[in-house]
Amino acid sequence: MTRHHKKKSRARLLRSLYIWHRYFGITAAVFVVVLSVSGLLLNHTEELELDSSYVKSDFLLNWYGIHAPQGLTSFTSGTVTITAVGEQIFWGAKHLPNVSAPLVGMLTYGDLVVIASGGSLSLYTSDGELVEKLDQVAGVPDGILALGVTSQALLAIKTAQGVYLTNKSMLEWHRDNESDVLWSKISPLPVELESGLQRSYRGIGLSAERLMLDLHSGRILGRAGVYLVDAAAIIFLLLAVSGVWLWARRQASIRAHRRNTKMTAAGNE
Amino acid sequence: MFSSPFQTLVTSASGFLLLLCPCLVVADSPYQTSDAFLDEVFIDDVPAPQVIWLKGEVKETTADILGHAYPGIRIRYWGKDNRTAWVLEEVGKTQPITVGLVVNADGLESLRVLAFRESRGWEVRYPFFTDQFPGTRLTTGNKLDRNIDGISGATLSVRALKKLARLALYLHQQTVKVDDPTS
Repeated sequence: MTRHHKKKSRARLLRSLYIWHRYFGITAAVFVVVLSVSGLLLNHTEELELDSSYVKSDFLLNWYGIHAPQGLTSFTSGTVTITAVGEQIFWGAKHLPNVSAPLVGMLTYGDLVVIASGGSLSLYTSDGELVEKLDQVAGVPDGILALGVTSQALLAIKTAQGVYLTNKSMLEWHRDNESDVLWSKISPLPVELESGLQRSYRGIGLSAERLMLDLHSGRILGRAGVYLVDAAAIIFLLLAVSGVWLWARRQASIRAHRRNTKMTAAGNE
Repeated sequence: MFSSPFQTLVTSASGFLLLLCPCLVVADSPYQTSDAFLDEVFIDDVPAPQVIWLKGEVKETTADILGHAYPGIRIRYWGKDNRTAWVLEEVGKTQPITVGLVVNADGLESLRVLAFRESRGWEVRYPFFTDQFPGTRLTTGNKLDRNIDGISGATLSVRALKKLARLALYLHQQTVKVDDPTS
């Protein structure tokens, strides 16, 4: 191959690399924007309260397959209605963050609203303020199946081992299978409240943090999204390599050009 | 002793699994149940539980110590001979850490992690960390009177435990106030 041919093919390679570098750049731009924005937001999750902000978009909720369950379990005592929607528990239409399913009973006991769910008892004031959550640490027997009150106004829980009673202080429990207990029963839910709860359930189903994490990792598009982000990472690498190579070539050609100019100038002198 | 490549591989794999053991323990299962903790503290003579109500200044100070309102307005404790035991919970990053604390007249007597549910930061359960707490007292600003060395990668868990230590010391002071008729 002649010197002229070699030079020509090198120039063609360089030009082709420039074109590829440009394509890599354009393709990477979309990913750079998405990854940078989501990364920046995730770096400030706590300040931006992304973990307690929820996505309202029906499209995204449907995309994640977040649908409210049908057939809700509900207990009503006086003016208070407690409902389990999936894993979440609601006081009227308000979500109770400290309580989880399964909901097995609820009743008004003195000034308190007592909710038996998730293997523990939660005591609330009539205004909905949490007084205390009672679990095994507080001596509440494990595996609550039902909640009730005896004719002597003692609070009762039913477990697989038997019935346990406590007084208003709820500090200690003792086993008693003799007492007559009136157990709290599931009550029907008004249609308007049911549809409102189903909307609320969806409303706290997807946090902004989860969405950002999935956007950042590509998981929002499932397995394919992860591979897409992998591909983006490879493009970033190629972009870096081709960029450095092109810069080095350019520097070398500038240096050669300067050397030639100097030599020509020296020859002329 | 003869050692085949297979034996070496098995030994190495077992060693690796043993190293991973602390991570595998990080499940919902407690390191120690609260009953066992109380039995140990009061040598099988656990007193009847008592409660302290979070009202007014106590409620405000509790929120100030934790950096958020306590989830509830009463806290259970066990007390005898000017010693109180507390089983408290505080979220590290996303999950609550259950901690057993004992306070006496000289300050914090012991701190033990009873259950850890986070995926990181479980090192706070080990004595090399918890042994820094005994003897700790509260300063006038409800801070710990000594520096507690942190653990890299467990910042939030360390912070949660320090908050609970301050809370137990503060609540103990309040129970003593309640018990003391001269105060």
